[in-house]
Amino acid sequence: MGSARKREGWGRDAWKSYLFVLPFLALFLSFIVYPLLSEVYYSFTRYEIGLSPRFVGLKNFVGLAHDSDYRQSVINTLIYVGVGVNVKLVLSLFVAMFFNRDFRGRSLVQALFLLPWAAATISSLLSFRWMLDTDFGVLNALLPMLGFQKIQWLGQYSTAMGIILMYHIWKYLPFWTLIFLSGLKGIPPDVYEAAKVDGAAPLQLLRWITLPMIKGLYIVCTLISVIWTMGDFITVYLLTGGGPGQSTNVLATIAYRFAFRFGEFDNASACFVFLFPVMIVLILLVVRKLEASTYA
Amino acid sequence: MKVFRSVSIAMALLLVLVTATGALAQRKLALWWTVEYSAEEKAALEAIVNDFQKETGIKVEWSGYSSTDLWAKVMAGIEAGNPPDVSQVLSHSLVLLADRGLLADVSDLIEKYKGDMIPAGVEASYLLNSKTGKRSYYCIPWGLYTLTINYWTTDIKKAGYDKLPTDWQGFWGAFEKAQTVTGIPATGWSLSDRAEFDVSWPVEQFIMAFGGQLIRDGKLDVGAENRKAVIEALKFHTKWYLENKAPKGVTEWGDPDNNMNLQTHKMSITLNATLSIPRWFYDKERDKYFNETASANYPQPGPLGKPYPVLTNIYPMIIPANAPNPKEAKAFADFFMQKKNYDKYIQGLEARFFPMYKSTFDNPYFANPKDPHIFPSRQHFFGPAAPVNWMLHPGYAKFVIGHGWHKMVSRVAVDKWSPERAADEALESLKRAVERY
Repeated sequence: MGSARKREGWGRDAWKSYLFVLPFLALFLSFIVYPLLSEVYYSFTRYEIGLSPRFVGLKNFVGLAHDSDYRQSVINTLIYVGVGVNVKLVLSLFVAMFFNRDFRGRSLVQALFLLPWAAATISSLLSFRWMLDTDFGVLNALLPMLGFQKIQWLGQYSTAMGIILMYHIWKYLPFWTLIFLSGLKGIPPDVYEAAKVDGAAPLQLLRWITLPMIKGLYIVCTLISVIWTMGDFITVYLLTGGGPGQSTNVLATIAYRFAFRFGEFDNASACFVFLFPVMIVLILLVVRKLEASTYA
Repeated sequence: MKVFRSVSIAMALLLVLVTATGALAQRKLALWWTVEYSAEEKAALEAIVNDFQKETGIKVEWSGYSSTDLWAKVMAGIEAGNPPDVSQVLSHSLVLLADRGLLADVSDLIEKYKGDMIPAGVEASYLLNSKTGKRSYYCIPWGLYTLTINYWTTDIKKAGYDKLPTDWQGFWGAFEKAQTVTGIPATGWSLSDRAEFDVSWPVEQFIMAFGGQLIRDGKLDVGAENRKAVIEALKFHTKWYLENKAPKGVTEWGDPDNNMNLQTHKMSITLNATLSIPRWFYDKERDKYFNETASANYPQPGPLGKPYPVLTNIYPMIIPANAPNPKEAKAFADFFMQKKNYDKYIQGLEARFFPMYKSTFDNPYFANPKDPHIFPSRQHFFGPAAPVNWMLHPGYAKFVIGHGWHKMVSRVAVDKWSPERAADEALESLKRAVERY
């Protein structure tokens, strides 16, 4: 009876539902589906500025596999995502646990801690660059005073990649800390109290209560952060410009180079399509995890 | 009341009609231009735009960008079918756009003005279009530039020189000697991906000085002589940094950093693609412009004891092939290149670029032998001169756009590769870059 009524209602009001969904659907098709499908299509064509796309099969992917700059950018992206996301999220969790306790001046410290995230990205990146400048930077002004030699922070691969990672962690740590903090606040205090009555030590509380109860949130955060970090362009572009010697490019900056320096939209598309399978798996995992937590 | 309403509606309709007709009749063009270093650049552009609007009635909607931003924007505009009517691009991207048949042929304008133009600039504008398989004029070269040599005369004097030596060894040796006296690093040019021509151009110039010529008759030559020249050029380009004769930060420098380091006297000499450094002194510390700094001509003969050409480049004005208002675009280009308008504009830039017209070079502004910067730099165009290699081959241009030379100087200076290994890698990359053309 109930389902019959539902079907009847759906049938009568269906056009209204579609009408309400239509604007979103139009935007979704125009700005998500169409560009995405175009990108996949272009990655299998020869498509340079001014030329009509011509199907070439896997040629672009083969070409990229032989391009040392592209290979380096894949390695850098893996480092950037692998190290950046994991260090950032582990630290975020611990900082969130720290902020989840009562202490004097907590609100002030929390507010200060949030500043990097609130600061405008471009100005904070430029400030980093100036602080790390070999000749004029404040860091290199201090090093000789402490008996060390000046370091070319952004002029050599190892330190440049380190700085890129450091900036990423510094910038986004507060955001993920906030997310984890809200997760921690959701754990009922009586669970901890009961465990304490049973004689659980702080590490046991972490191992057997905090981590299991926040696990779902942590996984979703990891997946989302991986997706966001993989597409990050501005950090590398503004800090190093892909240098020294094109060694710190990530996929986003190398794709920009293909598209807007060479006018090769085919290779720019292929750069990302290479990653689609990984991204799609990650996104499906996020969706599944979210659905599981919603309907569980 | 009814009458009043009817009259109001009629008048409103009339107003709409008149406005619409006016808008339809209004001829206009979109101009994208480089405005990046000084207020004078903007003022000079505004002046010529205003004059053009007054004379022709064509409205110019202009936007200013930095040269690298403009390049990406022009690419995107052309591809999206929404390009400007007139624009500028950096010379290496000009070569790629011409090669792909994306620029309007402006031979008629070049023919009209080329009698008075510097031949090297005209030659550099005669570009290959792979779609037609023919060369033609695909840009109006309005600005000419060269790698100028700017230095502190005070440092040379402290090293015991009354005049800068004019042979290769003596010239560079003077700055090495100055460093031992003053403690100020001798020289510095960028070794970083954050700079554009400030890296590629010195490498190219040094290859020339060491007897190399990588593009001959439109073809890449990677023979033994050129390999040797590339090795020596990479050695020379990086030796200053490796021997602690340059500021440590050169591995991170963007395009403005050599300006800043010379202006603040953190080194004695640098190479720069325009006269922007002296202009800064002229505006801010005029005494230093005249009495403490100077620009030099290239030391001749070169390191091999032979004369070598000084590389010159053009600053081009382009009309995209799919420009929405091609007639208006050509009218603007024509107006811009008319001698009276052109001279006003180029002088307004205060010698950031040199003129394309021989007759403009004779203006006292450019031909005053007492000027310590403009006059010596002007001489670069009147000795042995050659266009930069990237103007001669689209594959070579692609190598330069891809920061091919940036990578190699970084390999030698930062990763400590031998110059031989870096030269071989560069020549291999060049071979791959040209093979599809």
